[in-house]
Amino acid sequence: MNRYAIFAIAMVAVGVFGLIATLATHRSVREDIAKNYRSIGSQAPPGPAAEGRKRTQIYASSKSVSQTAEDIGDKHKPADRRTTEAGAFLRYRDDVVSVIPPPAGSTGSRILVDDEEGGYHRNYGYVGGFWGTYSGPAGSFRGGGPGTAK
Amino acid sequence: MIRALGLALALAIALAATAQAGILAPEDAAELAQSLAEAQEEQGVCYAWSIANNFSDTPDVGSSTAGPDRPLPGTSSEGLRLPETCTKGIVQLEGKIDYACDSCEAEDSASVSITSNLPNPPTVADLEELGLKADALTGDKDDTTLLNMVNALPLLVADRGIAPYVPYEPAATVPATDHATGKPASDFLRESGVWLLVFAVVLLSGPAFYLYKRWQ
Repeated sequence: MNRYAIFAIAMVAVGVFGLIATLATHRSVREDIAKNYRSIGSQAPPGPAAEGRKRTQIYASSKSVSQTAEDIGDKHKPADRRTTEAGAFLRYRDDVVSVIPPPAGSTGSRILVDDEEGGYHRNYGYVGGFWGTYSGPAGSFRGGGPGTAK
Repeated sequence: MIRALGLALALAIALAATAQAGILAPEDAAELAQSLAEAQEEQGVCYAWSIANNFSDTPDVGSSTAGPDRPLPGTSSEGLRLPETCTKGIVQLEGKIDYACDSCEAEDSASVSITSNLPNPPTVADLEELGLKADALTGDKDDTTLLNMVNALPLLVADRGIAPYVPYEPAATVPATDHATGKPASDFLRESGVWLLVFAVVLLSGPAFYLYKRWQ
């Protein structure tokens, strides 16, 4: 076997190993939050009942709202995000992660993991019009300015 | 009731404007001012935004005390002073957006800063850690970025322990016709797509390299 064949085999091996490692180590944001934060319960998802809906999972974080949202967003890049005065909301394909202030008298923050519909319903006042249809006072699409960039 | 009246007033002020200035639609600016007014009531901190631009005569301005299209009183040319209603202090997002002409080589650019008289106030780095970067003010989602940046100020103030958090209020009712749209693409591809591509190229390069050397 010549040195070119050995080099080619080595590249194939690195490529295969890299692909397998990438596929094997990936976890969804829902799985990752369940692994890294303390669960404090679950509840029925907001919005219309339907088959296949996932229960809302609730977790506690010892870090502040913005720090917790940053930690989650750094590890799992959201497709969209909305930051408001009352929380940070991260949108994924099938999940919505809401990082909100803790109950009065507590420190840290709360993390709510909803399915897409549940997250939209729960956070309608904050993400309505940005991530879907909206019948509120500001019209159908909030954040619908001109976008006049070159 | 007070909240509804405030929102109605803010909307009326905004809709009275004859033309949109800057990047925020009048309705968005009115909602933003209203949410800041609620944060001010909760925290005793006044909030404002002032983003200049080179494409319209008027900048994007507004505040929790004066509403949309009006700067925070006392902040125009005399530096920050403490209005009586701002018991704890003031936080203002300032910035500038420069659009380059279509035929110019220069790129569009934007910058922001935070002015405040609070001890240990939020910083631009805090906004960036939340994924809110000034460059996005020249992109397609310029208005959403500005809304997120200004809306984030009360959250960051609370995170620093300067004032209490604005309470999170889940929606009590949602119109049956309203729902999420624009389902995002695969999370896996968004997070790991680059690595998949890199390793696929490495894998395919091996046989390609071998065949090329044999052909030579």
